[in-house]
Amino acid sequence: MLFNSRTFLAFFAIVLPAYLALTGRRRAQNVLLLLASLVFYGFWDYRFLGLLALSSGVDFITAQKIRDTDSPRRKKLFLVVSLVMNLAVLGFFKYANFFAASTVALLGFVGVTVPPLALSIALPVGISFYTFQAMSYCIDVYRGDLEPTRSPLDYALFIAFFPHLVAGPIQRPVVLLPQMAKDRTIAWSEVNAGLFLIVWGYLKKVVIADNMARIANPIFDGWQSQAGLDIVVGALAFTFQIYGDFSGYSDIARGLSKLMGFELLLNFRLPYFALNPTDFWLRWHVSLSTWLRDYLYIPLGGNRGSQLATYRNLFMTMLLGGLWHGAAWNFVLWGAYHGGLLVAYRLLDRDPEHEDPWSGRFSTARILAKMLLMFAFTVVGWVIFRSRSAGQAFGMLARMGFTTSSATRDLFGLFGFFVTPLVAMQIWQYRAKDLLVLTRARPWLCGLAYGAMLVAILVFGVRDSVEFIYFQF
Amino acid sequence: MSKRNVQLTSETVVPASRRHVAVTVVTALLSVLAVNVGALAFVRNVPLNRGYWLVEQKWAKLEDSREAADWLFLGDSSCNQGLRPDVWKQATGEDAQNLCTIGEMIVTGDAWMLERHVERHGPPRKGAVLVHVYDVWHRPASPALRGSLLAHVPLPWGFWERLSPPLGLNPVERLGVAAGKYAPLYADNASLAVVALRGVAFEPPRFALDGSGYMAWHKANPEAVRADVEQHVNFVNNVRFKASAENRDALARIRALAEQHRFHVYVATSPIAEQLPRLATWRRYKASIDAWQRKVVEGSTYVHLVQRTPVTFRPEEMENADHLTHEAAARYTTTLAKSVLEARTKLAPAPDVTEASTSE
Repeated sequence: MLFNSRTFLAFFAIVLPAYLALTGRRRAQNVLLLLASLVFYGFWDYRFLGLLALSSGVDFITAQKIRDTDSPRRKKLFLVVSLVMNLAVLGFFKYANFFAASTVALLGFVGVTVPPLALSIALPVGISFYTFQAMSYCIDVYRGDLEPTRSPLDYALFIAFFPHLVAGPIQRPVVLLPQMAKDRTIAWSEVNAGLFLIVWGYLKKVVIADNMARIANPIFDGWQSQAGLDIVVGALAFTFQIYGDFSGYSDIARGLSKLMGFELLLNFRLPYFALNPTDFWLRWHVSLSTWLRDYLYIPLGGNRGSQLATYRNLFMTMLLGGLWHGAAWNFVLWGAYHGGLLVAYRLLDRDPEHEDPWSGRFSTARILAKMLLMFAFTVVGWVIFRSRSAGQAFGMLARMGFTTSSATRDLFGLFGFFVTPLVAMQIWQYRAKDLLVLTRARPWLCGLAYGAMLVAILVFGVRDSVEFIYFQF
Repeated sequence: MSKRNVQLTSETVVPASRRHVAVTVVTALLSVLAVNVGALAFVRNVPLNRGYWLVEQKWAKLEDSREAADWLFLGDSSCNQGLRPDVWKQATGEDAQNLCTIGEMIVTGDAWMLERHVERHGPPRKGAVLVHVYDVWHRPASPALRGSLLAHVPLPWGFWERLSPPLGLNPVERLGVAAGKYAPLYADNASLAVVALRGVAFEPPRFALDGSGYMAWHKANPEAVRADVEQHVNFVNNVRFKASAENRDALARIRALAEQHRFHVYVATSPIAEQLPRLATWRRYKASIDAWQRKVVEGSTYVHLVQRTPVTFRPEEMENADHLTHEAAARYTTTLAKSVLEARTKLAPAPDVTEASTSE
């Protein structure tokens, strides 16, 4: 079930009133939400509900075992069981074909011919998200950062809660589990914020991202015959498509949760305003980047060792972060590219901006130039990410230029038409240092703005329920 | 990944009361409603969608007519811009009304129009001509027909169940019809998007019908014809003909009307791009339609199949693979009129249909 489908709207129109009718009866509300989440997930493919149940069940039990035992060795053993199970599930469903094909290719490279092996494995939607969430639960319990819940219902809902289930934000158990275990009060201020997030999220998805896809797709698919400037527009369009798509999903998920009294992690903080690679990863897909920081980068040693070790850890983390996005070499290359950027930034930028780059110490020109430079690096990264092969990525980057075609003007016009409102809103948010800045306006002004957004969604929104890009990850 | 060099934007949830949220939501909904009312006035005054406009205009023409037509042309867009009443008059000496709409209305739309004509004025005095492109006969009632297209037929709500053959709509489809009538922001979104994207540079399309309902098209588009032909080739290579239930029932209804009110109906092959009849797959598909139509009209004194051999045209004479330019339409009309006259001469003397109708 997609957020941008009529089925989902009907589904939520039933679930929300039923949920609110159960106010004050937390357990009943949790049962309802769990059932609704299973329907939501099962709508895509009910066969994978078993996998979800298996993953949740094993982690719930191993976390109990970790708590119940005093032996550090046994604690570690149970943690390993959980991690192996989660990674095995992820590895089988997501990476089996990739590693098989890569091994065959590698053997072919050294002269050993092996018939290609391809298993017919369907990728369960959202597996990367809920697996990471489940792993963080057991790791937190193991580290003693979290008391495991005794309620299988609360735990199952923590994993399966439909707003975040298939495309995040990846929730931390320390943040979401306690919300499952206590009575919810729904504040009007949260409803107010939630409404903005929902309307703005839908606008970003169906108006901006889906229309950007209409520009980017033909250019990426037929890149060899595109003019230089058209490829630039295609790359820019994908840059805004992936942002609108993923941040739109996160906003809708967070907004829906607020209407039900839950607070999900913030996932995007205006990433295209980043001044450097470090800044970018504190703004882009924050729930993943902080997960990688806490459960991979720091355990690898973080920045506690030599400079060289820090660079290695950064690079490794980003490489694996790239692979998390999908079983293909372009994602690995994209991860390596961002790892390289992070290392290069640490090596080269000897006078980085401090907490507030606008404090007066740095000139506006310098800040804007750095912002633009980082944006250009980001666009290059998205070309790698979106390309089907390294050859395509390099080919497209090499072909970028100022040659035009008969379509260039229209492409720019269309791109500008859809991106300008987004950029204008984001400049406002950036200057106000508040993503919810619009909600500060008088209610009737807010209402007019939402009305305009709804009109844009109705008129310009792509109606054929285009899937969210991050479903595949 | 360490936290430095940043000025992160966060969220500040401002206090809000129930009233604050209510005012926001109500203002948002009212503003959407207001824009929708404006859009409704706009789309009613400025035709944006040729298909909707044609359906609306042709039905309005039928509903506004004061007397029975000599000849009634019914069918799809190939007939709308392919069958010229002025040329027909030269060939037959008789007047005609072109009420052809678009393919998406399928034969059901023709049956409904014929029924309305009979209800209001009795049968057409000389007969009716039915022209559809070959690929219409297999089409079921599409979601477009079951929604926004029905909304553009200027008849009272629920007419699709009153006219025969009836079209059953589920509640969602009824909502679609209502949206097509009253919610252009939803139903006419594609056209409105074009208007908004062009902004001040937007020029309303100029559609025009002559007094007889015919729409002249003057600009040939050979490239579009060739591209369209490709699609037709793909279609006949991949689809085996089976008449849709809706078209089967509609043709049966037309036959019943003709027999009940004793007027002649001539079912003709539409004009088509010359490349298609050269293809064996296309000829096979067409032969299947002919065989099916023969079976449906078998034994009928009043329904006749005419112009079985397609009249073909060069890309330079067409807008697409089945839409003719004004000049080419003259040739198609002359050829079809000749076929109809030939068929008529073979018939027994026709009864005075006006009397036959009024005597019932």
